[in-house]
Amino acid sequence: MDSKLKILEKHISEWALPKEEILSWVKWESDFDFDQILIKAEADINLHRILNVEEEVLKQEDIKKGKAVIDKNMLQIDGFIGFGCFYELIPEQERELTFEIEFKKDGKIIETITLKTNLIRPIVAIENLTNNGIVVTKDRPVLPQLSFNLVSKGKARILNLAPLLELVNAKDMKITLEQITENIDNEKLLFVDSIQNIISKIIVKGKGYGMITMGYEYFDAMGNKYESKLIDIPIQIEQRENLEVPISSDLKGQSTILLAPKVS
Amino acid sequence: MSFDPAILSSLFSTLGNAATTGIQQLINSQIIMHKGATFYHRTSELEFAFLLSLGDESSRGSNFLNKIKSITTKPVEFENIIELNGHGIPKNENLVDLGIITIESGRGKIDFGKLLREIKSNTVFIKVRVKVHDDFKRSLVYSRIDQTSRHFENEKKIETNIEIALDYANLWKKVFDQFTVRDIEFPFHLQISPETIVEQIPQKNRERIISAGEQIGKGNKDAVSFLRIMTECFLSFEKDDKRDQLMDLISVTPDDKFYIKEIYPTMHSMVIAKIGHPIILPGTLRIIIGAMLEGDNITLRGKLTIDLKKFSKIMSDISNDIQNKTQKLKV
Repeated sequence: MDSKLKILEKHISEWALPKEEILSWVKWESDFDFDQILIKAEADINLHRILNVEEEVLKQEDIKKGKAVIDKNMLQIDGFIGFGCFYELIPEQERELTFEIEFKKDGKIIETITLKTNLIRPIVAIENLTNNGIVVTKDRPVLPQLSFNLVSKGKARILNLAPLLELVNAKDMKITLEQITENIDNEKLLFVDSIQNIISKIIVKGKGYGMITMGYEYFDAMGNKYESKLIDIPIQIEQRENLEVPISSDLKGQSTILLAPKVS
Repeated sequence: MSFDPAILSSLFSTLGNAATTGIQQLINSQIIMHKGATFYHRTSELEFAFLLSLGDESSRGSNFLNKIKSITTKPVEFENIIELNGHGIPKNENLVDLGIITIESGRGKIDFGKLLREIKSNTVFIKVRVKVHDDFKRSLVYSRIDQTSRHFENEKKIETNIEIALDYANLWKKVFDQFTVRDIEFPFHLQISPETIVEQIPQKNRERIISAGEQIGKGNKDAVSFLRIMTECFLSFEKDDKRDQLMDLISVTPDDKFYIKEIYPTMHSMVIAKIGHPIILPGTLRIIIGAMLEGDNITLRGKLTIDLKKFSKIMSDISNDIQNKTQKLKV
């Protein structure tokens, strides 16, 4: 028996979306002397499958909390352990996930293997915003247009982008968001999906003061839903009006699938 | 080689109802020289290949018969049979023709008593192929392909990781002398954005597309012809020669473990922006990747790479085709 761990292969999926499978394994020279393995994952990781172990191991309650204890005699063959897991929540930012595999002998940790992967997600951000609010008064009778660019700041692809409105304090007004496929000025958009909504406009009826928080909801390839609240738009309508405020937004790089992540 | 009964029991509980005690009896019979198993992942079929040593006819005395009592008392039966056959070596007696192997309604039988009486060869080869539950497929082969691909080389290439790990390795390593998993399939979908198509269309032609869309409502016959030819040209994306070109733009590594099995281009319904006229354009590539795991390997890693430059060439050819075929049309 050897007291030194000789790793033959160490692998973990390079990146994963929330709730996407992460697969990892470690192979080592089977003459390594140990009596227990401990798999430790961060919070909110569901460790749902462990490879090459007897069924009893899978009954441990802590597995779903990202912790598994495997006695050496519970390994089906020597020199191999693997696991499958996923990150359960929708993170606010992209981040690194760390896993540790500890080898123990007589209750003491004799070797630790660290595995890292990147948790990625789509992120919609706003750029070049010209927003003085929707203000229509005697002094400013011209209807404003909201114009801005959206940019992809995450490593994952943005799917099914759609605007959303949240109304704050606008008692006497009815504010809705409408999407249309007309009046597309962007030269690149020669063809569009027949069900795609391109341009939005805010319909404001009534008068008074208020605030709209506008953002976007979107999905990733796993079907996870995201919401980014991007702008607070003040509204001031002096006289009862029935207004249509066009929103012009262009998402740059929507077709970019993934920018190369770095894996340590 | 002896077998741990717990491992065998685990194997057959893993197999579920598909494998009956027949296979277990064969494995336990102690006359097996070689046991191989191949799992066909795509079809969920498990194939066993057994080489049985019968010895010379003169040596098949009571000692020998005691060793194989479990399989000679009554015919060994198998369920969910897809294929069951065998022959003697070296005399090549066909076990089916001799009525030693019989198959009826997916149920197979091997009469080992008859086999010992009638086969002169000292060795027998038997192949059994059974259908197993899809649950078995999922529990045996643990596989993953990235849901999000990576762009590199100035966005000219896309790369996706493929990972496979075999579970229940003890069963295969301890029960069988050889175990292979074939036909492991991964579907991969590549979505083609309309922008990718538009980038290949020269500006002049883009203007003609818009113009045709506008004029179609005014009854311009050339505009109708233009859009019809354009649709036909885009539909050529599905033709065999284009599919061959598509096969060329996708590669998998290591190429001795992974291979591209099929590419299915699918067309999507789109509309011309500003005009709303419907048109059919290439929308998605469905790529089927195959893989094989054998020998001591219990894990496999690979990469799928798509060369977007070659893809642009295909789209550019289609665009040129549209231009050539519509030159005389007044739109």
